[in-house]
Amino acid sequence: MRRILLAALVALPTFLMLAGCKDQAPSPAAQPGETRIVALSPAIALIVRDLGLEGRIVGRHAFDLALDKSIPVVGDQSGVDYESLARAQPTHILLDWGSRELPPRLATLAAERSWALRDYTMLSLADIRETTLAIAEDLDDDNARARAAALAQSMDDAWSAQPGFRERCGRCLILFGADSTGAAGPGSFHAQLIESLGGASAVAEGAPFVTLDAEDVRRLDPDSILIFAPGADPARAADLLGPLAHAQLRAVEAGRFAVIAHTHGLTPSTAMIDVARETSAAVLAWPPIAPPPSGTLTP
Amino acid sequence: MNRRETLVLAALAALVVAAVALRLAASPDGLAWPLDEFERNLRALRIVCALTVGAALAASGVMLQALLRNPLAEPAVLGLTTGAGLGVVISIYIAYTTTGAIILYAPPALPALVGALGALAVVGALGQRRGLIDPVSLILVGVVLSLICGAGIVFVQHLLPDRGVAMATRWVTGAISDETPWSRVAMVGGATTLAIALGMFFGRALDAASLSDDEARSVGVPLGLLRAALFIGSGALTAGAVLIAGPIGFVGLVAPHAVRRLAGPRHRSLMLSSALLGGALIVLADAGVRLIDLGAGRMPIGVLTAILGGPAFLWLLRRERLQP
Repeated sequence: MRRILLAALVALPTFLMLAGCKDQAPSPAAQPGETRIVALSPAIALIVRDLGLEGRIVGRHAFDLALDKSIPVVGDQSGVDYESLARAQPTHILLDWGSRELPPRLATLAAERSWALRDYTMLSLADIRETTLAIAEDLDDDNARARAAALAQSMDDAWSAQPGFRERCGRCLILFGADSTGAAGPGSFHAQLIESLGGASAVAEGAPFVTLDAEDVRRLDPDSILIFAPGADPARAADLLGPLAHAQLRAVEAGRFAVIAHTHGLTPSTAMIDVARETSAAVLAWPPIAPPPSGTLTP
Repeated sequence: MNRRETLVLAALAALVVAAVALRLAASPDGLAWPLDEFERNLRALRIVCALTVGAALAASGVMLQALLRNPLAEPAVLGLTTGAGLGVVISIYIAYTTTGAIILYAPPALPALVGALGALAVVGALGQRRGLIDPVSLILVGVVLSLICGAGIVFVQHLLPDRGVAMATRWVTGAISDETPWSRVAMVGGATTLAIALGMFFGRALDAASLSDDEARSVGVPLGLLRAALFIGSGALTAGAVLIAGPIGFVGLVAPHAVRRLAGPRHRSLMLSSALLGGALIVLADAGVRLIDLGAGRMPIGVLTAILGGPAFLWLLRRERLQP
């Protein structure tokens, strides 16, 4: 009896599974001249969307927050799901893979199937501008070219010195999320954003992403603090400061801290245009930094 | 093999066939046969990877349980998988510092072997009390070592420019990559087959070694040689599995225990049946992560095996009357 049960346990699911299998018809192949884009990067997905080409995206990154969820996920930062990718039948694969080794199979497959594989660099504001223009060129679309030019102009306008910003921002500590220990260092696009608006990053040395504790922050003694926390409630900025709220910081005591809650505030993309505007508006609402009393020494 | 062992072996072979068929039919759109040769090859690669990893981990579990005379011994619990993973990420970091590129897809094999054997040596040395392996101490040392190696992996990640985000899925959680080169699968698969065959060949010696030292020696088992072979064999099997899929837990525990309950403790059949069951479990887990669509891409296999294997470990722990 046991043996019969065991055999049934193995045979039944196998039968059901085989019976349930469909002989699928392949997805419609890309028509000549049709552009089918896989955006294997959340940042590039935002740029493609802002270029007006969202309708041509057939595959997205697992961490994507901007595209329609019905678009299949074809990979993430740790690897590519080649079966989903092949089913998407792309003509263009756009990614920013950074210093990591490009997936070996991806390059081979792209060559075999004549997919245009484009790996962009997205580390700085200049990279974002250059990539926006490059994507429009690579996709060879006149409307996208026009939008890219307009976006580049918006970037130039948004990422430029704003009157009154320097006086209110000073040396700004840029923090990420509700965890106050992750901060933007020199060379990061967040630090560049603050510098382009007229301020300065309080973290002048180290890597683009640095880890600080409350004592480090006290020693830095920033003039202001910005917390980039996508989706957070700006009215609860003091809560997001955590232990820094009680660290007797000049920035906190003078009320020169704010949350930048833009959904894509951590994504190096065209979203940084709106992020710059949100940042500028937040900083310009602060009181100007009081000059030190005469006769005192500043560090 | 007696009749019972043969029947269990046949049933497990059938389970492997069913698991392979299920995985072959698991597509991004539900159950559907591969559309073309490309998809067939891709699914075949993942099936062979999963069979190899599962068989290697299960066989390693059988060897460790015989070597340490501890029913709770398995590669993940003793820190071997994280030890091998630490070896791999250190080699990735060294490659990054010398070449500037983060090589993720086919890291060198030797660091994984060194990591696994190093972890086993530490666990073996510190898990003794008055010269004898103490089951509780062994597990505690293994858990602590696993935590230390896990912290080491996170430390290496911290030093990488992307904070190791790209390597996290595979080397911390455990996942099968579509990028795995066939040459690597062939190397690990060949070594696994050889190790399982040797394990079966020495099955009677393993049966005797599972008793006391005196009893094993009385029937002429060369204990020193056997232990050295089990030490290297279990380390090599774990290193091979980690090279393909990173640290995947609990298969080395669940498979041998299930087979023991079904077919008895004789190592000749235990080794082969456990390998079959381990392979089937990982193939089924891979089918699961393909079919479970949460809208965020494929889940790492290691998550699924830990969710299912963790409770099994706790049940065994309770059964063995060992309090954590």
